[in-house]
Amino acid sequence: MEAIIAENVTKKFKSSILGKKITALKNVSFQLDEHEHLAVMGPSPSGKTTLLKTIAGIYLPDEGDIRVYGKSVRRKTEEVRKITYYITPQIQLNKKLTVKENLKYFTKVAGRELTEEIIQLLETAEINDEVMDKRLETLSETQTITLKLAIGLIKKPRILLMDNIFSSLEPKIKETFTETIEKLREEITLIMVDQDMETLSKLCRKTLILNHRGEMIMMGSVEQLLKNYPYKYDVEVTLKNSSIKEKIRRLGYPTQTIGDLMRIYIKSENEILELTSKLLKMKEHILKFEISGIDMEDIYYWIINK
Amino acid sequence: MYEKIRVIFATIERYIRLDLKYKFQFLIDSLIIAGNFLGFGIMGFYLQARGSTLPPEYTFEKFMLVGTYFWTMLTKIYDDCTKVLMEEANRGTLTLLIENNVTIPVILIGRAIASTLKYGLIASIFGIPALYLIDALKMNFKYLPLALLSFTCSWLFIIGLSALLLSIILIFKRVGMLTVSIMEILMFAIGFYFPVELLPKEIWPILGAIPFTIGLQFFRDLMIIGEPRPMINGVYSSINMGIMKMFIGSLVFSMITFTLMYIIMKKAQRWGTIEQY
Ligand SMILES: Nc1ncnc2c1ncn2[C@@H]1O[C@H](COP(=O)(O)OP(=O)(O)OP(=O)(O)O)[C@@H](O)[C@H]1O
Ligand SMILES: [Mg+2]
Repeated sequence: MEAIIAENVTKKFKSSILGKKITALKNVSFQLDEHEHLAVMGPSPSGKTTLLKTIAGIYLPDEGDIRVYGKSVRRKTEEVRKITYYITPQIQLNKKLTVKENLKYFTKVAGRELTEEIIQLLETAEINDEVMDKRLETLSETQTITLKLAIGLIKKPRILLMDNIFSSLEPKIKETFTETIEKLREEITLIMVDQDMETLSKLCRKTLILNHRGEMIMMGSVEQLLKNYPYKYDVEVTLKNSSIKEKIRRLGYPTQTIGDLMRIYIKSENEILELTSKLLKMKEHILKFEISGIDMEDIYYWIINK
Repeated sequence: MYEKIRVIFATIERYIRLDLKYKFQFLIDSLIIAGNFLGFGIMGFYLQARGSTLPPEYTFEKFMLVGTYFWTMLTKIYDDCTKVLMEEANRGTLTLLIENNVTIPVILIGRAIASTLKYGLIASIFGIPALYLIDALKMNFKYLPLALLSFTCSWLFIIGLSALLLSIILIFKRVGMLTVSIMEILMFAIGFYFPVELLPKEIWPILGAIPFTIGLQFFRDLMIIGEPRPMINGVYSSINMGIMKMFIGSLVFSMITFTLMYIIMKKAQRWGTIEQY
């Protein structure tokens, strides 16, 4: 069953009443099956947040429509909001209210009760009975973000939209969140935007890539992409001295540079040995290098640069 | 429908809880309201009403203080209602509310009812003793429904006006002094300072059509004389006519402004101004 069908979604914003329009999303169409996990990637800005907020019924599309479990975001906005939850570090809970008051409010709004799972999730961040009566002002960041996730789960969303949540989390809480989502795998469709590529590739089997004009370049399964990708390994070189960049480029492998970091793409094991010995010769200019298999991040940069 | 009511009730409770957290503000509000009664009371005692537009029972301090009681409750509610979007946006809480179907009309209604309870209480604590002292609690019990209707219609009008302002805020985000200025103009227009009759005849039809004007005159008459006057120049020509105008006027006005707010809210979701950043 399709959880999401987006048809020709275009979204424009005006910077001010008289200002000219910015196109944040242009003609985006895709389908996503129930319980799939989708990573939305793209440069900054490329309309990723806008796409998520439109799916959540916070914004409405200018053209086209999105159907969430068959319900049109345009015509059944409130129905869509009942089954989606958009979470980002920017959304805030009222800090003057206590944890309990905040939870109570959203259980009343959703017409539901706190489930055992939600209470357990809260306990992983040490939100126990004592903390329940404290104002949010006194909570740690980890506790706050856990509470935000918990509050979203109260309404039992069928679609969870996470916007840059993981990149700011500490390792321990990152694990809890990953586990929580893995546990919900059979119940939830996930759409994620994140700078933390590792978590992204861990959680998502599908990816959708936008370009800086807000157009969809491609959408597909990560596995399929990996299969079609011409390279098998990447060597990540951290430079001590940027003057060496040109020399590495001249080695003849496809490369990609991000600041003082260079990625070299390799087709076979033999090439790795070859390259390693060449790099060792330049070792006084290099801080370190790491060899790894191709992952989602490599594919993303490859596609974006094409 | 049941769902909406549940969400509104939860939202009322949320605002009451929030208001109670700001104890200092509560205190200041109470002091200001007490100050209003004192100030307008003193003004009423020292000034003399000119002409003979008002019935003999109407001393100026009664005129002022009954008006203050009615006015204070309603303008304070209006203040809260027109500020509510900006406050939620500044706290960053608006997006989360919206995505949980706590829509802008729900926020407005929740805020309005919570403020009504709050200021109804504070204004009564100071107002009722003040009115008692100057012998302006004359209402005949059989007119209680009319007093309540006068309040409700004026309330609906004020909430409708808030909806209109929130629509403007949704478009322009900041509206500067607009909200305050409207209230200042309204203070003259509804006959808070002096009877509408003393204003130019040409604008009577407009002033007399404002439900708040009619509500205020009814309320004053009930408190000061004990019963409504059969007619008031510039406001209504018969009691039934006055009730009709007030009732239909407030209903139509609030329905129009709420519809407008709903349309603008949908537009704001298009424009991306809904979160008011
Ligand atoms: N509510 C809004 N009002 C006006 N312009 C907006 C609004 N939301 C987004 N934009 C604009 O739309 C474009 C896309 O923004 P968006 O936030 O969706 O990008 P993004 O891909 O999430 O970027 P980032 O990676 O930096 O988070 C940007 O040019 C942004 O300025
Ligand atoms: Mg973003």
